[in-house]
Amino acid sequence: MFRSNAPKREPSGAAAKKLAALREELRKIERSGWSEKTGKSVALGLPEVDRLLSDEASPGLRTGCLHEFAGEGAEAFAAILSGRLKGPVLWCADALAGSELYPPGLAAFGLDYRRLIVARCRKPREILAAMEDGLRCRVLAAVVGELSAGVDLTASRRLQLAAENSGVTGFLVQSAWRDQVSKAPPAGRRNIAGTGRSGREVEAKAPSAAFSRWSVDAARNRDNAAGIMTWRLSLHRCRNGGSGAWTVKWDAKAYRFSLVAEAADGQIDPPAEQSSGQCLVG
Amino acid sequence: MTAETGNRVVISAVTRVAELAGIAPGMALADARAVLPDLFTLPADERADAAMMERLARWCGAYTPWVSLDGPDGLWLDVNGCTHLRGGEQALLNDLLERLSGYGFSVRGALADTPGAAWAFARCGEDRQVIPSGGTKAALAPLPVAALRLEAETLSKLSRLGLRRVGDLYGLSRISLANRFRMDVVRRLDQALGSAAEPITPRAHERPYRVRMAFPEPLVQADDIAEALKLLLQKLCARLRQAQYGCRRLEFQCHRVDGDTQRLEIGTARPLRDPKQLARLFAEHLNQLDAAFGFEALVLSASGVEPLGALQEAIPVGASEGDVSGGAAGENGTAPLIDLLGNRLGFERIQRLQPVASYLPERAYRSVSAAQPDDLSDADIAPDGAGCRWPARLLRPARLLRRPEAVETLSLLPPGEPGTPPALFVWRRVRHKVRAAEGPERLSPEWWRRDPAWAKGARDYWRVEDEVGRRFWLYREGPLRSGVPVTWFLHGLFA
Repeated sequence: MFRSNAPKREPSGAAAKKLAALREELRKIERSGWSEKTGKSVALGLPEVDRLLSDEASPGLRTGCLHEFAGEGAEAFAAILSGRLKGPVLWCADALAGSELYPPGLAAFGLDYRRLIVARCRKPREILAAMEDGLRCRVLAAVVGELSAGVDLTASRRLQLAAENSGVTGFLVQSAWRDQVSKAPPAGRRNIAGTGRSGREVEAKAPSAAFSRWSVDAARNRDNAAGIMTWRLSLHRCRNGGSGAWTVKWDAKAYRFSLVAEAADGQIDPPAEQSSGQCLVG
Repeated sequence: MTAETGNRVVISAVTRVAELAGIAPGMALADARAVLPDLFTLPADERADAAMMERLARWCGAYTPWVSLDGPDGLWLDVNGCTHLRGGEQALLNDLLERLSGYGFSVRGALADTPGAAWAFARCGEDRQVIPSGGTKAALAPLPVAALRLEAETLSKLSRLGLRRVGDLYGLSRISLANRFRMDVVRRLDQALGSAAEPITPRAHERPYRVRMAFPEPLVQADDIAEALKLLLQKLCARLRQAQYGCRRLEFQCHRVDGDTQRLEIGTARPLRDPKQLARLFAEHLNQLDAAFGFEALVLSASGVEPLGALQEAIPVGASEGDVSGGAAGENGTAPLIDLLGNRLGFERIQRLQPVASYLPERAYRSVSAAQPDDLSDADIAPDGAGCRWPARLLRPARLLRRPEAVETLSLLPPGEPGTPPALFVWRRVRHKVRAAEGPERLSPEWWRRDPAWAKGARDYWRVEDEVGRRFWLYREGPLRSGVPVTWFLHGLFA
């Protein structure tokens, strides 16, 4: 695994060949027939990130896999990525959450409301079951599941296997928003913003069979233009072995991501860093 | 009941009370009103009447399989060979008429050798008469000639000649009758007396889409039941395919050895007749069955069917990739999924979203059941949705709170200057320091709609970012006046 902020060393010559052969070997062990069926990817449009996620042939987030997002921007991220895939999208929503998906807002992420099928589930179990059925339906492009808590290894493995077999991409979304809505801190304790569970804590939780785990946390908008959203994007785990953290901004007019240079501003959301401590999987 | 003939409104049917008051069918409504000023009339609905007669005919199938409709208000029942089942002819007739009048119909009936004679006695004779076999001619004689199903013109001619009773015609020569009245009178007379055949065409018998299976040894194992269901589904689907129908609702009845009956019901988003898909829809519910001592009979019936043309049997899986860019094209592919989820969660919870032409955030979209793509024809919705997308320049949050929540605010500006966003707000006991704000966007309530949530007037919406970078959608409610405390609400969460 690499640290993103450390300069990435490219292995050269024979070592690179050997590494590639080993990776291939690993891949075969991991899943038979995996690369043919799910060899496609959806690119984020950020070469730096895309390269880390997949091989050179098809950079980007692998389709036909399960990906986990946490944090305030998790839904947005799932919407953006499923918007880039072709086909209908099943959105397994939590009908009992305090807030609900707002379709006019989805337009900013390039996800057409006509492609959405919303299943309003009442229990996490229903969401997981609906997701699994959706992931078996090959016509779909993506399945998004809103969950307030993490899933266990068995559940995520079931989803991952279903996704692999059909080639449908699954997104597990653990929104920090919903967390805050459902679990307000007890009375008498006033919190500073940022102490609710953030995506950064995800990595410490139970293992998951998802192909990649991300957190998409709120970040300050550097340029105060309308239609620009900034997130602190951290890749905690990816089966290909990458990890890293970037500050990205989303242009809702051009439907495009771009990296925010970290050098431009040394302090990226300092309050959160102080409170929970920035750490990366290395 | 009134019916319109040309430009006249005519009484078409009357109640017994109105009949006693002198109102008769065929009267003009104006005349009838003159006779009885407080006459209550309803327009006749012939189609509903016909449908009712159709249902009655089906119901009469309990007495004989040979039922046919006679005009708009009559039914023939050929009870030949069926009477012993009900304890004789009179008993059958009484039973039939008792039941029908018990349902609230005013009915008359008679049983005779020929359809013509039965018609005559039912309408002109004594009610609930059974004419003994061979006694038709004698019994028919005192009835008026109208009992012979003759046209009004012929009837008036007959009455002018003094031929009022059917018996009056018996003595006349057939040739002179035929000369004067064409073949009508002779034919009707022959039909009533049985010397001319009058076949009754029975209604086409509808076989319900129902298959059953009985077992000498009761079924207990879940696997066995699933297997039996599969066979039943194959049988039923084969029949549906032949008839070019697909089912929308299926009922699976399991009759237990101890007499208990258990039911499972599934619905589908569109007509379906693929045994595999249907079996999958049932599979989830099969464990609800309590077999106890076992099931001795399984019945599968399609309670709702709709036409479904021939289908291409198997669509290669890879082919579905390209055709689903739009919503409509993908519908066929997602139907099995919608069925599956709909049967589990309820079809009303599997939804598609539609824009609504309104600026009010909570009214800007609505959810429709994904199982009914047909009810898109609302005035609010453009046919292709293109004209009615949400305007992209209006930035809207990704999540909307189900109801706006009041937040405590602190404004750094003196209270004399309203119209600015708060510098700090507390939502759900978490303090958010506002770092940047965009706005206001003023939204006014729709005056043509009484909406309690908007009773306080226009709202000023602000997009607000806290010091961490979370983006909120806040609004200020009510008029801006100095001295009036300003209330702020949180309505949406940006991603």
